[in-house]
Amino acid sequence: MEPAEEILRVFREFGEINVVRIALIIAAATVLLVIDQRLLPRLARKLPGKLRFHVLALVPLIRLTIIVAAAVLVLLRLIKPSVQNMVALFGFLGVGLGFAVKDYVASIVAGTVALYETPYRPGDWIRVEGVYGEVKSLEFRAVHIVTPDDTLVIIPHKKLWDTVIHNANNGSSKLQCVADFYVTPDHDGARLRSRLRDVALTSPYVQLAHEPKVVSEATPWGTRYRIRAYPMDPDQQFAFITDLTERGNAAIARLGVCFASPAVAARGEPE
Amino acid sequence: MNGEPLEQRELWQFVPVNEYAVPETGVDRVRKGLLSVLGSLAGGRARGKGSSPLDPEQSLLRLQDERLELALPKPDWKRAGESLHEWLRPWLESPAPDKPAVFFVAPPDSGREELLLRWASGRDVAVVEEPTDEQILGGDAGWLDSWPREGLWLLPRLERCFLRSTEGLDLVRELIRRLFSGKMGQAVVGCDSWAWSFLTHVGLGRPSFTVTAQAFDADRMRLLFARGIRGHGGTIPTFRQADNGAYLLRAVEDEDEAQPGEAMAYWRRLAECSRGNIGVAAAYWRRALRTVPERDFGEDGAETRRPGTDTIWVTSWDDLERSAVPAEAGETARFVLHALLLHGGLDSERLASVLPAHSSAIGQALGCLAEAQLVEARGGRWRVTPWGYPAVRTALCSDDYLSDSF
Repeated sequence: MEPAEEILRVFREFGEINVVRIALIIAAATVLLVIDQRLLPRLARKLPGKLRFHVLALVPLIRLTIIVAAAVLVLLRLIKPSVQNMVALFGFLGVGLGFAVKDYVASIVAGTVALYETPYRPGDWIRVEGVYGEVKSLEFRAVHIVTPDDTLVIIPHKKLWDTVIHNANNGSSKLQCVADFYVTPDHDGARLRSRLRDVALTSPYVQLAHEPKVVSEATPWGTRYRIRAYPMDPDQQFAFITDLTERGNAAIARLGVCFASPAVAARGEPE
Repeated sequence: MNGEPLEQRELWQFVPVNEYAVPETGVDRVRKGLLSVLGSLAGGRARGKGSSPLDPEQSLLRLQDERLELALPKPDWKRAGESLHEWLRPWLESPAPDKPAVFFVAPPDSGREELLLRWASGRDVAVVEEPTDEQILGGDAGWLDSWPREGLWLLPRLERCFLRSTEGLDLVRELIRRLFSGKMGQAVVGCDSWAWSFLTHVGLGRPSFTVTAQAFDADRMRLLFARGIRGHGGTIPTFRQADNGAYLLRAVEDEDEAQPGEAMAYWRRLAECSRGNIGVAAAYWRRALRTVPERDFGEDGAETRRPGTDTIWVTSWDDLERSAVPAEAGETARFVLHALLLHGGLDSERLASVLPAHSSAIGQALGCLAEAQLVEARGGRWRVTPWGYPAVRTALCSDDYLSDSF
């Protein structure tokens, strides 16, 4: 028997197929997908911090469940359910997918694995190969990221399978921000560190449940101070760093401490 | 009830801050809400024996200002001050070197300032004035140097001794350091609960000797209102709930020991929604008061005229307008609200110095919040209104702003 005929035997006779029921299943799945993709994220953004992340993380999982359930229900109405038929069908699919759409399927499989392992989820801020942005959605094949300059970056899941992913908040509202300051070495370090800590403590954005830290280290051309602190919401990270930087620079200037930079160090004179 | 005469029952209870308990929880409210929904599904709202004698079509009028002021509770601060003094007596008579100061912490509008100043009045207590903003930002230790070194002194508002800015914490830290050095005599320091929460994160530590006035539960709140309301021209108001006619308050000497269930349900809701805060409760009460001119109704619905009484109608909770933070109030508005709570009120100029927003944006935010009656300007300072406080607190807590534990 020809392979094509063998495949066709798997399917029901046309008269046996309930087209209306299949159409209803597809329509219902479509409606549920729209709700999942559009309304659920909108609802999540109205929720307070921690709850928002939990709800956003459910969106791709619910989508996968709907698609799988609809596919199974449709398949059962198209084919005669027997072991022999299922083996024949999956054999055909395997050969066809292996040659024609293997990359696409690889991305889908990678996306499914990502749902289980959750290296990233909606609401996470991740860095992948130099691209930093917020995960907006996990589609079937790719992850959609929006960068701080409002650029949509679409990365196939397959590409992320063997790439290092830096996840800044990992499903929570806790995202550490860092503000850097460079000063010449001739200053009172304890006093400056205390003052920079006050800069962080008095920021309207700061989440005081996580105590801000100030660390310093020597660089070839000066001393680097870093404020490490957490904003109340990851969306505030850039405004928070701006606030820390502006008020930190002002505080350093009021203390009479000189700023350092490689160019200044090269000239051998303070700024 | 313990049989003690009502007039002698002590309403003010003082406890350490970590023993403060807000009356009832949202769980109880959810349960009651579900029961209410089920009751509605079962066949409409049941009308019990307390059905309102009012004509449903009749419009109730707001009280005129003069009558309204008389219908608001005015706590007996003298008596409250005496209760506080009794609580402080062991510490006052036997000062401990490791407890040079007691911190009185309370939420906004709960009467902390009135109580402390009344306590200090008539006693040998020096009341210290807060520093100016210039003294705070300059870290002016001269303000501390001018304080009394011996004896007992009161600083009623610690929240006015700092600013949330880089240089705004130095003075209050120096104050605390000198306080616990034991070289500044005995101190009673009042502090708003939001400022207290902030200061414990930024260098105050967690002083162990604290006190607060326990939140008012339904029973004590009802008695506080009953004692604090005086009539107009010799008449004693009777307060009835507009939707079911329940008697919420009568003249104190006429009050029964056991209050009907419907009346106590109102007081429980009031205590719960105000979180036991008498200032917030009074604000809700003020908004709920209505009148029908010239007539009164007896319990059987017949029109009566009770000599020496006056009936004021109280809007039910379901019909009472509750405060809410407007949906268009963005990040700047929330920053403004939080800053006002942390500092116990600020003027516009100082708001601009403690917030990362332009003064025009702050002005717009203030306008939006004032229109929603969440903030008001008083004495040159903007502050959160007592009526708006519950909604503001809920909004800030849900957005993970640092909040108090009251």
